[in-house]
Formats: sequence, structure tokens, C-alpha cells
Amino acid sequence: MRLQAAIAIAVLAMCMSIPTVAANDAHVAATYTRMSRIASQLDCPVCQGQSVKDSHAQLAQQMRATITEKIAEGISDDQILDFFTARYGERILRDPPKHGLALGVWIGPVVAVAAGLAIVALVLLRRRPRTAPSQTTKVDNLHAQIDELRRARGDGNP
Amino acid sequence: MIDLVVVGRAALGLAFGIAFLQLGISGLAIWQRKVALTHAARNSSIVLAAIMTIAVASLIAGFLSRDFSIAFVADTSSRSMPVGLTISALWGGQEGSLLFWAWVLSLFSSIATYRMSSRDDVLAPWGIGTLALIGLFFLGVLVFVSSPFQRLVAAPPDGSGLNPLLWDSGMQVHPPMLLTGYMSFTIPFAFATSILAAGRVSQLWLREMRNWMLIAWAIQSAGLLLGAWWAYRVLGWGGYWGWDPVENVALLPWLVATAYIHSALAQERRGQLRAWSIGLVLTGFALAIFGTFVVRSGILTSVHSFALSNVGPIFLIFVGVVLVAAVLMFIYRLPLLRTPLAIDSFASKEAGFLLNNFLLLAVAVAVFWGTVFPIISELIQGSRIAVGPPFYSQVTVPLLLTLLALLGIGPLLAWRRTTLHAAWRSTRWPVTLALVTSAVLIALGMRVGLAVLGFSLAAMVITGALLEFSRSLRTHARMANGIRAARIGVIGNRRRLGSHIVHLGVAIFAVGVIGSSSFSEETSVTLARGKSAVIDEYRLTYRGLSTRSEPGLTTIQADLDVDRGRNSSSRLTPSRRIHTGWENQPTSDVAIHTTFPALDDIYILIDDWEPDGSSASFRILVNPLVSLLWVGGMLYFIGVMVVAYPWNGTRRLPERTLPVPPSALR
Repeated sequence: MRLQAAIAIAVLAMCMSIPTVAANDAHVAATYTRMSRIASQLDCPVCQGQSVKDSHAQLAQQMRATITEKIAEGISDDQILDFFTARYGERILRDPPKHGLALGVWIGPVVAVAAGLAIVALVLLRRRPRTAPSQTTKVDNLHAQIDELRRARGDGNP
Repeated sequence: MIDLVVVGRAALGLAFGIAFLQLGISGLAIWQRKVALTHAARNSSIVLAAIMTIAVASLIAGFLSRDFSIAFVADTSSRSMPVGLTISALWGGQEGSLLFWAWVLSLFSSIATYRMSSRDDVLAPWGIGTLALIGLFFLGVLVFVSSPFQRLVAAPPDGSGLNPLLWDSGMQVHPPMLLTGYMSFTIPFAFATSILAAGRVSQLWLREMRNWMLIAWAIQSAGLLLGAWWAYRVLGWGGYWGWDPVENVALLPWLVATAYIHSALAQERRGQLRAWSIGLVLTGFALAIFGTFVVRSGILTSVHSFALSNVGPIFLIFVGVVLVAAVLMFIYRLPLLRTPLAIDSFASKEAGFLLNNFLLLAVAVAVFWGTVFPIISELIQGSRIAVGPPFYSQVTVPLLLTLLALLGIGPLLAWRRTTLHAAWRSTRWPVTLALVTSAVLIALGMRVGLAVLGFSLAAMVITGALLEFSRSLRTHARMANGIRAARIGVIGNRRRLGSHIVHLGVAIFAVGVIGSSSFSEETSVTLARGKSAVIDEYRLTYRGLSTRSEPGLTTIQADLDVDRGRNSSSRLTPSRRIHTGWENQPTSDVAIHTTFPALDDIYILIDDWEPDGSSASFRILVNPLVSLLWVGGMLYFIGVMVVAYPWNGTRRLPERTLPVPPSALR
């Protein structure tokens, strides 16, 4: 009797664990996706130019593990990033912050694009109604020749 | 036995002397205006090339004879390296790279100086002198600062060898191509500075400069593409471009050269943007030297900085002096170079070129700024601010998509002006197809806005290029009869045709970039033997591990089968290589399998493994459409060949009357 109950409970537990395992798998996959998203925003401190996500270095592996732990603890992405920023300074962020000196890196291209657009616009708007005489092209030459021929024949007012 | 160190040093010393002499003769030729002196200066570059070849040959002989008494040979090669790889150790360090740079420069110079002297008697000595000066600088560095022929007091029994990351066939093609690319910007620079120095413009000279810039652009393109291919296969993070500083600085001259190739067309056909084009040539050279310097100086720390160096400051001074001189001359000669820029209509090729140049330079400025900003921030606040891929993609993607749109419309517009009706007639099919592509993609469930936009624009470019292609064939077939006429048409329009092929290649490349950057999937799994994992629509089954040992190298290889359920499976074999002496740096051999027709790349590398092979961890990526990068790249080069092949054989339009100021016609 007791054995049967034990078996029943065991089977029940196994059945119940199937969705849990499946859910767990989905959970693991989601955690992995979140972890790689966060890790890809962090610069590996000991490697050169690689993110924490792509690096094979030991420290990067530890940092990935730390991120996974923090996710399991239910800490938000931003807080995890803040945690690493507090520890390693802002240089660890691959995406430069949009305040302080780092704002300069964002402003630079914007200023350049604006200046470039202004120049292009000026050039285009300054276009002349008639081409300058120095810009004789084949078509202009032809028109001039036709006019001349007409004039020579004495017909039409050029 | 010949002492290679003595031969190499003697050759470099002699080369330095000849470059000095060549500079002197060029100066004299300018001073005395004697053609014989110009020819003497020209001929000395052939002697220089021959002697440089001896220097390179003696270093290669040092590698092949495993002469570890030469410091450079001991640093970059080891007995366990195969012969092909040992030769490519020539560019495995700073000294050898600089020697290679200077050698290729001497080879290019001996052709360029010959063409210079047959093009223009006034400009030639200036051009030859510039090339001599730059050669002299590099030879000076090689002789006095960073000699590849440094002798070790005691020769070690074996060299330390290259970093195992470089043990790859990519090492034999990418670095020499990129170094040659950087170097080749020197030649158009010499053409440009001679115009500035002599204060004389000649159409023949400008055209020759264009040809050399086209060569530099093509070589730089090849270097970049090979770099992307190598990174994808070897670095093991699943991408081909990481906005690494060293990649960025290689991209910069390419962007400027691409802008130049378009503005030079406006210069040639309509006499516009002449000063601008020359400015671009100067900028391209400055960025190429900056690239050479950055790769070698370690100023920007990145995965590429295997070599830290003492030449950094010297390069910085050289770039500074050359640039200040060039910019001052440029400003001084601006009145001579300036051409009236009158754009008749927004809907014209000229307006298209203007916008093209603006967009390419905007990308260049953003990339340059992002690359140097960490240094600037370090100077200002003492700590570095990292600028990573997110910055570059946010800033450049809008610009690049606009460029793609322009690529679809610009080539279809006429010179000077296009009436709205005509513009619509020539663009209606590409535009329609772009809209249809958008609709189909959205209907199929694609929800990534940028990808839908990018694919549609690429479809527009491809349609436009194909239409233009067939149109030019048809027009010529109509004009005369038969295949011969079509053939003549193709030859006569070779440059135009080539440009369409290049644009087609770029569009296909863009499809690959958009697809792989928007829809890549990644996962990490640990599999027991015989177990499977599913990613995207593919099932991967781990079959086991095998270990192979050779002297100096242990390879651990995993066997996986990939299938899509019903199809027969393919075998994938990612592996790890552990080189003796580099045990802490095992390198990954990525396994890549391209499926057909889906064009997904299944990209697998081993993360970790049990020694008995009972289980192993893998990082698996499914990268869609990456293979299109290589297809587009090939097409691009076919187009470049078509554009560049017969320099003088192409039927040319007669020389136009161009707005050359009277002062230029002295």
C-alpha cells in the first residue's frame, strides 16, 4: 500500500516535472538571450576590442556567469549594467553614454551631417537659371551652331 | 654561406641612398627643366625597385633557412610553421610590414614614374620627387629606427612563431592586400601634389591620376573583403565586421576613394568638382598613412594590435608635415583648381554625385570620429570612453540606407537635367519593384522595418542595374546589326557597363549584410553524445569527439550532423587547435555549412568539452545570407575589372573644352 502510494506520487511528480522541465528549458533559453544581450553591451576589460559576449577570456566567462546569476535574482537589465559600470567605470559600456563628455561622440556626426547638408543645399539652391558660358556642352554648341546657320540664311530671329 | 643580415642591411642602405639621389635629381629636373634629368630620376626608381626586391628576398631567405639569428625571423616564425605560413610571417610584425610596404611602393613607383614622364614634362619631376620623398621616409624608418635585419647576439634554437590566431590561409592574402591598398594611395597623391606644386592642370594627368586611384580603390576593396572573410571564418564570434578600430581605419580610405571615383566622373564629363576631387585624393592618402600608422602603433588597442611599437610618433610627425604642406599648397592653388559648380537640376547625375559624396563622407566622418574619440576622451579626462558597434550602427545605418536608395535612382538620371516625366520613365520599374518587394516581405511576415526597407531598396538597385544593362545592349544592337554590334556596344560602354556590375554587386552585398545583421540567431548548448539540439529549423546531432596529435599541435574535433528533418544530413566538424607554447590560447576552427536554397550559414564552434568526448558545449549561430557577401563581392570585382581593364583601348569621348583658367595654360 505504502509502496503503491510512493510509486503513484513518484509518477505524479514525474508527470508534473515534464512541463516544469520544458518551462525550465524555455526559461533557460530566455535567460541566455537576455544574458547575451547584456554581455554584448559590455566591453571585455582584459581583451582588446571584444565584447563580454564574444570573448573567450576567463574574466568574460565569469562576467557572463555573474550576469546569469543576477538575472536569476530578478534584477533588471539596466541595474545589471549599472552594477558593472559602478565596478569598472563607464569605459566598460560599448555604447557610449549620452551625457557628459561621451555626448561629444554622438554630437560629432550630427554636426558633420548638418554642416554637410547645409553645404549641399546651398550648392543646389544656388543653381543658376542658365549655364555659365564656360560650361559649353555639346548641346549648347549645337544650339549655337543652329542659331548661327539660321542667322546666315537670314531666316528667323535668334 | 651568404650573410643575409649583411645583404639585407646593405640593400636597404643602398636603397636609402638611391631614394635620396632620386629626390635630388627630381629637384634638379624641376630647377633646370631638363627632360633628361626627369628620365634619370625615373630610371632610378627601377634600380630602387630591384634593390628593394633583394632586401625582401634576403629576409624571405632568412625565413626559409630558419635563420633565427635575425631577430625578426625569430620573433615571427618557428620551425613548426609550414613554408607558406613562414613566408607570410614577413608581414607578421612591424618591421617586415614596413619593408613589404616600401617594397610594393618601389614596384608601383617604377611603373608610375614611367607613366608620369611620358605624360607631362612639367609635372613629372614633381610627381617623381614626391614618390622619392615618401619612399625615403619609409626607408629611413627601416634603416635607422625599425630594421628588419636586427641581429641577435645568440640565435635561439627555435623562434617564438606567429600567434596561432594568424595560422590561417587568410594570413597569406589579407594583410599583403591591405598593406598594398594603403600603399597604393601614395601614387594618386603624388599626381595630386605635383599639380599643386607646379600649378598646372592637364587633362591627361588628371585621367592618369584617376586610373591610379581606381587601382588603389580596387586593392583596398579586396583587402577589406578578404578581411571580412577571414574574420568570419577564424575569429569565431559569427560576424565579419566588428567596428574594430583597425577595421575602421581601413574603411576610411575606401570611403573617400569611392567618393572620389564618383566626383572624378563629374570632373571628367562636366568639368565640375575638380578642386574637390583633388582634395579627396589628398584626404585618401592621409587616411591611408593614418591606417598604416594605426595598425603598427598600437595607439588604438584592439584585437589587431599584436605589435606595439616605437615608430608611432615618427609616423605622426610625418603625416602631420606632409598634410600641412599639402593643405597649404591646396589652399594656395585653390583659385587655379576651382571649377564653377552649377547644378542645373535636382534631378540630374551631378546632383546625384553631390549627394553620393556627401553621404560617403558623412559615414567617413562618423567612423573617424568614433575611432579617435576614445583617444580624445583619454586626453581630456584621463580615462577612455569605449565606442562600440552600437554607436556605429546607429549613426551609419541611416546614411548607408540613403546611399542605397541613391544607388537605385542616381545612375538612371541623365546629366544636367532630367524632366520629371523622363525621370519617372527611367525609374518607374525599379521603384515599382521596390514597392512590390516591401509588400511581399510584409505579407510574408517580416516585421523588422529596417530590413524590409533595406531589401526593397536593394531590389530597386538590382532592377535598375539590370535594366540599364539590357538597355545599353539593346540600343547598340538596334544601331547596327548582329552580335558584332552588340559586342562593340559593350566595349564602347565598358566603363558604364562595369559600373552597373559593381552596383549590382554592392546591392547583393547589401542584401547579405541586412539579412545577416537582422535575422541572425544564436544559442549555446551542451550535448551528450547522440543527443540533438534544434535551432531555427535545423537539428544538430552530436556524434562524438576525436583528438589528433602532431608535433607542436593538438587538434580536438567534434562531429555533428545537421539536418532539416526530412533532408539527408551533412557532417559538420568544428575543432579546437592547441599549439605548443600557446596552450592558454586555443584557437577555434569554425565549421560553416551553407544551406541551399535558404542560404543560411550554420556556424558552429566548440566552447568546451569533456576529455572523453561524452559531452561537449557548442555555440551555434544561424546566419542568413552571409554567402551573398562573397557573391556580391565577386561580382563587384568583375565589375571593377571591366571598368579598369583596357586603359587606352576604351573608346574615349573627344577631349572636352574645359573651364581651365588661362593661368593654368602657361
